[in-house]
Amino acid sequence: MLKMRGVAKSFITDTVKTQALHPFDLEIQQGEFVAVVGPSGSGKTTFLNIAGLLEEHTEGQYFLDEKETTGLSDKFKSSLRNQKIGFIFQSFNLIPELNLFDNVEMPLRYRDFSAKERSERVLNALEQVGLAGRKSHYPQQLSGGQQQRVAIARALAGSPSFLLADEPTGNLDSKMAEGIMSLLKDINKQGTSILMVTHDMDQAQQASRIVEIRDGYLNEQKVAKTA
Amino acid sequence: MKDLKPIISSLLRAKMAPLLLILQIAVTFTVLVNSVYLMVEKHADITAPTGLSENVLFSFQIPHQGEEQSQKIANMYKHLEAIRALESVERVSIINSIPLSNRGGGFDIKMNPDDPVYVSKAAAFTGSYDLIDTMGVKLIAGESFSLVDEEALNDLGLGRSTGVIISKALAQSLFPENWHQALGSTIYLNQVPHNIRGVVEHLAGPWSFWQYKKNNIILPTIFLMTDITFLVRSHEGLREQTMKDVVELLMQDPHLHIDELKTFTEFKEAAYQAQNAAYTTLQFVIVGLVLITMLGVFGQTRFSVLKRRKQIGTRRALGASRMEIIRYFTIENLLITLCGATLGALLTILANNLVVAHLELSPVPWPYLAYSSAIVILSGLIAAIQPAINAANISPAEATRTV
Repeated sequence: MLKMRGVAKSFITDTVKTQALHPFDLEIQQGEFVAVVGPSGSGKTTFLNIAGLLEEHTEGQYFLDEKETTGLSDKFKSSLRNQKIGFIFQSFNLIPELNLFDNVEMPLRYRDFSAKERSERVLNALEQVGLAGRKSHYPQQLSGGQQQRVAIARALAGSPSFLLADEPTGNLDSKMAEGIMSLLKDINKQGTSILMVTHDMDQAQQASRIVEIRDGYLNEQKVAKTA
Repeated sequence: MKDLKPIISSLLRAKMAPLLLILQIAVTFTVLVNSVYLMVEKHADITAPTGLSENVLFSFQIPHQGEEQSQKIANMYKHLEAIRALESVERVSIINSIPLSNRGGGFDIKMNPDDPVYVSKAAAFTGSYDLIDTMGVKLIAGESFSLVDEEALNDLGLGRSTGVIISKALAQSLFPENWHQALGSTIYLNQVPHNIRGVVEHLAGPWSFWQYKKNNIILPTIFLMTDITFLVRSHEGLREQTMKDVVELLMQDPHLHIDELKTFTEFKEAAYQAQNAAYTTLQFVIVGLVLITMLGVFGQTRFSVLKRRKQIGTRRALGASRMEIIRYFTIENLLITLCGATLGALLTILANNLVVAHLELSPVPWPYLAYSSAIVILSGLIAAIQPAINAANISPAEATRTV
């Protein structure tokens, strides 16, 4: 589903070259739940941005559902992000001026869905996260955990190939975090792959695979997970 | 237009900032409509046809010479003939006042001597029988005067039965349904009946600011005043030369002094000086208003882009292309300017009604609302381009930035 071959990222500022990510290979199969761990500043966000097509890698090849993504135009990449990837952000990134329905519908508007299909998908997704009854509420009226559920519904509504979660529980207390983790696991069980970046080892343990990034080097953790 | 509903929802949620901009645009719009209207009116005023052959005419005054009236008249005709004989002169006439010179006289026009109120007002030009030809005004109905109609008198000769020639504008105000009916009709000047024997297409009156400036009457009486005013028509392109020739000719008589030697172009420029200044000022006002609108829209769009960096990054991450971001801000902006223009149009209509009801001024005609809307919307669109492009350039990676 996701295949990276010799992918690396470097920045050149003035005459200094900084290697943010050293060349690595990574393959994720359909249905996997992969956690990416590492301390801050290790290159996790750069990895996440490359995997999410938010940033261009400088070396190697990245295939998404067999499709080479290197050097695609902005329009093409935008539509790939829209159709293949469901984003979940640490600070939810909901649009405060829009109600829950409109928030979940937003990425669907960049696709050729009819209004009826959009509405069905939004309601299904909200149903899946248990917030269908609050579709007319605004994000500020919800708790952090509920807001993240809306963001998950937004990520799910477009039926993506995988969910890309960036510290999805980073802004939540432990009880809410637990709720979000179990929701993600449920979604994964239903067949959606998840690539989750986290610095929380306990949460990483709940994934089916753990990949560690340290000082820009990406390593598969051989340690068997406990859960 | 898939963005329309969420844009409207966000604008309704945000309320204050867009509302302030809408108000600003509405007020600007109201002033703009009136400025554009005034400017177009001034322009029409300045460029209105005078009916005269402006580039070949000039005039001057000399005092009467002689003691007796007969002597004065004889001398006047002697000068007239001498000027007419000059090679560079095409025609010359005597006239009581020059159009647009700010000097002249007029009448109340009645269709019936017993009417308590006048139908219209008009200024009178009186002089040589061939005044029309010298001025170059175009006779479009009826007949011109002939030599037998001409007489030199101490008054306007209102009692004479030569008939009058009037401007088409006056004919239209007397017979709004069909000005042709004016020909052969009788009008009353100071209770004295006059038959309308001819109609000229255009003729500018003595005063550029007068409400009835297009209403004019021509009489074939040479009105003997202190000075004689000559209107000279030179051959095409020879006005300067003709002026020199005339001065040279008259200066042969050491007792004669020439006064008010001026081209018709000079009279016209002086008459429209204020209007020209107002026209220029209005142009600046309009440019200023357009700039204010543009700055307002630019500021609001830029602020809203800066405020929503993360939101824009999120939209980009979730699949919006650069073009879709540009489209979003363009539509948002268009909605604000449309609301502003609509509110402005309502304000203008309201102001119009007040102006018509209380000040007896003419209301701004409808097309000006359309012109001003076009100006406001176009300036809004142009002003939003740069901030919208800035927004489109926000990286989708902005969505994952934590600070």
